[in-house]
Amino acid sequence: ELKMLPTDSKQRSGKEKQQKEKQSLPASSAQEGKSAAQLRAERRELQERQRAAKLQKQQEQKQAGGGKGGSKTSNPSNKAEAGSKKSAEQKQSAPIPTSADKKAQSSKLAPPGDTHQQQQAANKKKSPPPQQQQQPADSSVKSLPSFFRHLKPPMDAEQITSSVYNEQFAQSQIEAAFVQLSLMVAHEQLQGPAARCLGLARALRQLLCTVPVQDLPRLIKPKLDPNMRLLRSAKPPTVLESYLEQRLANWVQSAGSSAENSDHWLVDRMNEFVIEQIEKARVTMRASLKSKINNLDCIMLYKPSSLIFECLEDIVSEGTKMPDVRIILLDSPPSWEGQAFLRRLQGHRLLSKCPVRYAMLSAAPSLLSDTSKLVLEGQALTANGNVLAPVGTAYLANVAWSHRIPCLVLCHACQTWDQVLIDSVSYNELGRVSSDSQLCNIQYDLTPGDLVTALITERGVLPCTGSPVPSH
Amino acid sequence: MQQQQQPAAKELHSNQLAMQVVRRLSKRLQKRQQAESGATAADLIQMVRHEAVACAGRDPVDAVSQNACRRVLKILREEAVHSLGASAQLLSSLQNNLFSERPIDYSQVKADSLRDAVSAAIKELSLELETSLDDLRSHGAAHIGENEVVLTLGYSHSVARVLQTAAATRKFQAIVCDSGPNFSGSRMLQLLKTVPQIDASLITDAHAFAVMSRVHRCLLSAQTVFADGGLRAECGTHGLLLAAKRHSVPVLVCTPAHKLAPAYHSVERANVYLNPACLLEENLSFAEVHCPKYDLVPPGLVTLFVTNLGGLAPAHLHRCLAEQYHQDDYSIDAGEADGDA
Repeated sequence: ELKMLPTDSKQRSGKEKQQKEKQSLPASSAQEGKSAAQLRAERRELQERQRAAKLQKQQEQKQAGGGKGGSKTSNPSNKAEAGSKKSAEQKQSAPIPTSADKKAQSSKLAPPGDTHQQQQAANKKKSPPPQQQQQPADSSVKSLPSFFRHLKPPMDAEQITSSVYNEQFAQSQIEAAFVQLSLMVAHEQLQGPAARCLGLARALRQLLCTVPVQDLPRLIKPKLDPNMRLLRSAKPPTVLESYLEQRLANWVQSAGSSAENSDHWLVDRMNEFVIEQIEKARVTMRASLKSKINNLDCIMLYKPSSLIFECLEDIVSEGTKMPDVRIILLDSPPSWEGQAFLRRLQGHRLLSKCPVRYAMLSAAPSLLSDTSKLVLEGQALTANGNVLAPVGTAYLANVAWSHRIPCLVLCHACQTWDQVLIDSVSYNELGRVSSDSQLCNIQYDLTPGDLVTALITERGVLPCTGSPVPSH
Repeated sequence: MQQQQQPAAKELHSNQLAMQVVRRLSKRLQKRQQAESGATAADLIQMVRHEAVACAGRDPVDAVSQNACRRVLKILREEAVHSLGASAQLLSSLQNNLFSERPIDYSQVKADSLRDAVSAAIKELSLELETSLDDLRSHGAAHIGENEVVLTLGYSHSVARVLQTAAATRKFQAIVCDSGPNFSGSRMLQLLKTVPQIDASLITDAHAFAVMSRVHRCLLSAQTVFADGGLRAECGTHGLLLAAKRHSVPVLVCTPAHKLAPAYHSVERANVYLNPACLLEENLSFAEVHCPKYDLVPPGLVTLFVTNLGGLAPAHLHRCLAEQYHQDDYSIDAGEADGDA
């Protein structure tokens, strides 16, 4: 049998090992009459062991700090054996292998010279995210596409509450309002671009009330930091939230130089911010949007928020001037925001004036022949003129563009961002799915600016190229 | 390899459906030939055409049964022409149809003379239909490379086979789009997860544009392929193909050749609408629900059709049509939905 095994110059070093392994073959297979399949299986196992042994030798030679190399190579060699045994037994219900496993299996096919590089690559892959290794090898565990694996998985309520008590935050006091806000954010209960910012404003107000006015400039930053860290650990901040933080820092800084008299000057400033930048802005945007909607229009909506709902109410209350506006509402799992919108519409007087059609996002192309315009909401406007919006927006904007339907995106002026993005992969968030679902849910996608007809902000109706150029 | 899944009683693969129709037709042809001694080829042809109309009436969306009837008609016509003792000139070919001198009179041909030739040809046809899905997978697997990301939509037997064949010799990633209202993507995911070389994940079709910049190939299937390259495919395909076009991702449509219908695409082609209750609960039924089962995709979005006869460019579909069906059978009238209107 030794003659039948492949002998090349690289494997001569492992020949002694070969002989040892021959002797260590299980006695049962030596005794039974061997079929061709069993012979092949044994040969494959031997080859695998030889390769693993050879790799181990090479690794030990190359890596001077033997401990690290040894532990890393022992893992792949074990998995290589496991992998070859499984394939020898032809089990199709094999669990999902980790990346190292796959590399070991593919090493059977590649020439021996390449396996070393692959093994190195496999080792590199294994070192960073711990969540990959913690995944049990189980076919019920979902796997993300490889280009999304840099995203953090969403946090649970228990994780947030436990992190409040663990070492990270134990020394500082976290406001109850911030814990509550973090929980709501983590569970995606705050929908719409402005909702999280308003939540942050509310929590900040509570926090500011606990700090005496005289000590504000000194104490605000150390008080605020742990709270913001907790909030950010739940989800990365939206553009509006970061804007509010930035303004807060500016106010505190500017107040340090001049003495402010009133007791609640910071809270007043914040209320002013909320009124100006969010509430009044919404009113202006609603009016702009209304001016763009004509009689007999059929408006296609996707993931509409309260802003669009209020705009529709404005339109319908117009009465005789706009009798015939129809809505097509698109929806997509797993968040089913269209159904939430329908529940809001249920029993509302809107319906008498405004018939609603409901469809899944996938049916959008078939409905476009009926549509006059598409109204979407944006999360942020990147510095290079693309729109970051809830996932599905780019899909829909592309479909509408192919059918020459105008696409309007609602966006606050302070939602402009200094980040530059060209695709939906480099910056994103993992969304929450139900535990039995295998779906990979991403929160945002990037709509290229040329797919958007107009951006409706409170400062006017702009093209996407109207994003402010960041000064470097 | 994956065990053969026993299809449920209602869920036949398209080639099994086609084979059923062919078997039924061959039995009826034999009966007819035995019963009537004076039957001519024209009578047989008429009978099969009536069967095709009946198929269309039963299920306007199903093009496969009609196509199977067309294949049988082609066999009948060809054998009739052979037995007329005609020279090679009268055999149907693109050029000769243009220059043929007189139309062929099928009532001159006796059915008895055709019997053996037709039954042999029908056996060949059945064999071709039976192995169509197997032939298809080797043609498709060549287009998937090592470490590439392949995007697919919903569950399709052809695509699953192509992916499994490719996975035998290389490893790659497969992203399955799950689109409503069918939601067959999880079924495809379960199947792909059992293949060790495929790294499979599931997304909704809302993510299709978002991931498309990282995708190397789109591998889809269709329910029907129209003669101009349009498709009737699972709902969500159109949006996905538009995203692929935007990102210049090659789109491969894996369909066996018996799904190729000699009709042009139109948005008024037959479609199936599903029960709205699958999407919405009852108290929200004030909204008019639009849930088509299929998308009618216009031509121009597909790079390559992978069929059991090999890869076919959309511009060459007419050639495949001409080889499979006789020109006189392209439109089978009397109210069927997929005729060349």
